[in-house]
Amino acid sequence: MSLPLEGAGALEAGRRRSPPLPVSASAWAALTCGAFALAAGFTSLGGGASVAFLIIGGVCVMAGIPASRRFPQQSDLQPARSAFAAVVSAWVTMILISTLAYLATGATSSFQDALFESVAGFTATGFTAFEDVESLPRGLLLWRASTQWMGGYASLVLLICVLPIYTPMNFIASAREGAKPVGALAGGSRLRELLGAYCALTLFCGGLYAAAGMGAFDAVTYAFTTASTGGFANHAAGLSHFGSASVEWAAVAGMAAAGVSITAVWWALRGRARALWHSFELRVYLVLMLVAVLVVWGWSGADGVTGLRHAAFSVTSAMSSTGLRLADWASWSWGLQFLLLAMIATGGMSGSAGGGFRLSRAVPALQYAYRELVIQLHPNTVHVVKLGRKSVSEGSLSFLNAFQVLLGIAVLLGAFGLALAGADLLGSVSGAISALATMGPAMGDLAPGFDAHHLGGGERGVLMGLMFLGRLMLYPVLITLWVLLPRLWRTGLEGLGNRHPEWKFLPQRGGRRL
Amino acid sequence: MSLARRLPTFYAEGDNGGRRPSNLPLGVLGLSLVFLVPGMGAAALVEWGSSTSHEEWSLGVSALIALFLGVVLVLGTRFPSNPRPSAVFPAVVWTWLGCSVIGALPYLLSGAFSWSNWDSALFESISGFTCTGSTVMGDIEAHGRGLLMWRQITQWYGGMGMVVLAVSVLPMLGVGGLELMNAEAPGPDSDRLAPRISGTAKRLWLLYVLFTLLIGLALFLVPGVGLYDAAAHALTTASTGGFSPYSDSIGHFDSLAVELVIAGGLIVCAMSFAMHYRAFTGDFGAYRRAFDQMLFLKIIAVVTAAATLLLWLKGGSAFGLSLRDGFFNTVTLASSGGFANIRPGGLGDFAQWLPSGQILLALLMLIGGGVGSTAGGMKVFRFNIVMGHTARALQLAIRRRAVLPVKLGGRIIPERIVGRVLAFVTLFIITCGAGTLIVSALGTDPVTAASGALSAMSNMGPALGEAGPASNFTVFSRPARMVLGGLMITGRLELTAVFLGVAMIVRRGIQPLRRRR
Repeated sequence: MSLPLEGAGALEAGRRRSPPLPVSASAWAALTCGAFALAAGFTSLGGGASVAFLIIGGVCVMAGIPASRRFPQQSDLQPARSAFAAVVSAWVTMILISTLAYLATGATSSFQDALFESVAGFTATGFTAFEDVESLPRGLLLWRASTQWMGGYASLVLLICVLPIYTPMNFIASAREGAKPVGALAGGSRLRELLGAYCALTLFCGGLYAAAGMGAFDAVTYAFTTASTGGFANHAAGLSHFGSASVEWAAVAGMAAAGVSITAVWWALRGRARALWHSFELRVYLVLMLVAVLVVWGWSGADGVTGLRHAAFSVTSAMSSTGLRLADWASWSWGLQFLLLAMIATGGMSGSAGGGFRLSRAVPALQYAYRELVIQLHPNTVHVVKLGRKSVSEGSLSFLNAFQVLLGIAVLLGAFGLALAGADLLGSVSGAISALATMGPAMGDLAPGFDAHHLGGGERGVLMGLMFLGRLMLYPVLITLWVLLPRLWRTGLEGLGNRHPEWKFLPQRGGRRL
Repeated sequence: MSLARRLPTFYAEGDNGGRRPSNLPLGVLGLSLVFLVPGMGAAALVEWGSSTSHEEWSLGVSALIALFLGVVLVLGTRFPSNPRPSAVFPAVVWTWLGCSVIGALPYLLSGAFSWSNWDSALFESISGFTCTGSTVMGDIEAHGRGLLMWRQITQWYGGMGMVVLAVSVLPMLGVGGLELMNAEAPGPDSDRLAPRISGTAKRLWLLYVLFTLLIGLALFLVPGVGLYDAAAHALTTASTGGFSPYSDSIGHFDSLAVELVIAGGLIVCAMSFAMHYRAFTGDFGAYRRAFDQMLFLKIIAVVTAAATLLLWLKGGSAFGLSLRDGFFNTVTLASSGGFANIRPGGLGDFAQWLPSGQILLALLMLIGGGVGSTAGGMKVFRFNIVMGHTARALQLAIRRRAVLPVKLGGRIIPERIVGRVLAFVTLFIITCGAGTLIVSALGTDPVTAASGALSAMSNMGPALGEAGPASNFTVFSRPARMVLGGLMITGRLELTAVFLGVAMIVRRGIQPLRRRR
């Protein structure tokens, strides 16, 4: 990877030159990918895939090191446009490297399959394009799982560190667990804390799987895909391959934990269980999950503990948008299927790697609608929308409404695209929702029994677009496409720098330029 | 009067000192019931004059019941001069519920639906008054012409709205009249066409009558369309309702001319009546100023083109046929008319279109017609504001300190209205989703359930899946139909009135309990 260090936007005189944020973000992404590729290479040592992995890993690490010497600082994130471009370019880099890896290791000879598998991996969606997963060498299986793990971490960084700065979503990690200011990427300590919490979550999942009697390799890979709410499986039959109730209960616990905000996990690690209880969103999440499990259990009419296990598995898989599957819910009653789709659309807590609309947005959005009703009855009333005890600012609400509309538009356009490409009506609408929530399986033509290898190129293209949009929370992608790319075309990468005349017209405030 | 005083006076305002109780909901309901009498009478005349089944007595008896109840309520109550919002919303809800119940009487009395099947009669009546046009009548032609005419007339009443009709003869209401009208169709623009709000209501209704007559005349001029057919379809075209006395609806005529007249009528009536009125009085700039209404035309043009291309290129039909059916179905869905156009060799059954075409049509249902018209759905005005707000949010993500207004055709929309519209959209989607969940839980497949709920909320009529234009709503179970009926009223009254009205009614209902405690 070439690094345009020389021509890059020069910061103030005397300070060390650093590459533009999109470049250094891509470099960090390449470095991480390289490390995991090396790990995959060593895992499958002796096999054919090993050499390809080692070469790719080596090249990525070598290319990543120079630009990632300097850790991104808070000040680097300042022009929002450059941060958004960085997010998009990091993801694109990871996806391209992974596509290359799949092709080079001979996992597939089709570019389309490789690209789809990479997008599904880094967006932590449970769709797979590979027909025969079980015949893949171990290195490739590890690589598949690690793409999801990396994608999950990247999305946490995006959610906790990047997005709140630019969009008024500071209530994103709400109430007490957000007492430590989110959005401060001070010298990377935040990133490290995040990584620690995420690793702890992964260890928790892996420990549960190991305790439930899984082998070491399976425990690691399934822990990767569970903690990241990804949903790739090493077996065609998913977790039911093991035929063990304890493995399934372990997955239930893991998926439920993965849908919890990572900041809550961090507080739990610090031994602040009391603080957890103050999190309104966590309470909503747990209560909703419990109610949903009971409803599904009672409604599905499955008997006893098996029914409870299946209900709990499906609900946690849907709410955390993991997409691991157990019971083939295409055979469920229509009402249950729709309920599950509604849970997929709502999603888990907002600080988690899961997808969907998220609870901490759904609750204020509902309150906002309720407030407008009250105002029509009592026009002079002052009604502050609150999430738990914390009030939500009007700016956040306004942003929230726009976000909701954007999601709606994305679902509509996606469904239209899927239908144009040949999916049936049910499959295209539910598939668009499920892909946007980075869940995976849906209904109709995209029911859990099927997988992406049945789909045509057009459908896969639309699904990839939706997964990417959903994982990046729409805003970075839309702004990059509509605002930045046209400017980049004119100015080159320098145009992202603070001092470029292209941005002189923007309002400025004491050192912080937005 | 003494009887009236014993009626429950939930909304009595203050101490009346022995006068008639001031009770807005019952008064407006009574007045609306009185207004239903001429319609029932006209239907009875049609039955008497032309039908062989001679069920005019059922319509006559219903008319007498409506007249009696209406007169008692009107004479027994006094209209407050300045009603509070807590009385306005229940008034609208009671009026619509009462009219739907009384409007179902002819179906039951004539035996079109048996008494044990009362919910189907109520569904048919609600579907009529809300201008939805979903039907559970299996064999429509088997019924008397008068009864079928009553079906059409219910839609005509619902088109402009019974409350607006009542307000037109209540000059004493003052500002409360405006609130009543807004509660029935709370378009964000409260256009005043006359100094008095009752004058505005009167003008709107007169224009509505005029449009109905014009559409009827145009239909009558088409060869092969009789007076009865012309009248019946004019009533449901002007109201963008969609009922037809034939089970194959417009396809019965198999005539391009009829389709064009009805499509033209639907387009006109799915745009603001206030705008039309201004143009009628010589102010032709009204059309140019109404940006959202013109956007409605553009949406129709774009979707017609897209649907035609889909049918022609992907569906493999002839171009002429694709254009004809693409246009008619686009118009009838965009204006929430919902006329079916099932004819041999045609493409009228849009539930059989390609899935992509069906998604386009569902989008049309959601967007709906122009504000201030008889059409349903979310309304283009709201759609436009929502898009403007979203574009602004994208701008603000990179230019956080910018102050940007939401504009509609160069006019700045106040933030209050933007907030209301956003809340409306949220509520609309949640209500639709909740309705779908309940309907699908009652044993309907998701496509039929979701499109049925959407169709009911936007007062469309036919849905997709099994409840398409070639079918009817008997595919839903009886409890599911009741849910859909509730959604129809909710959609017709644009959510707010129903939610607040029901909340007020419940609150009033439990207030005695609270006091005792």
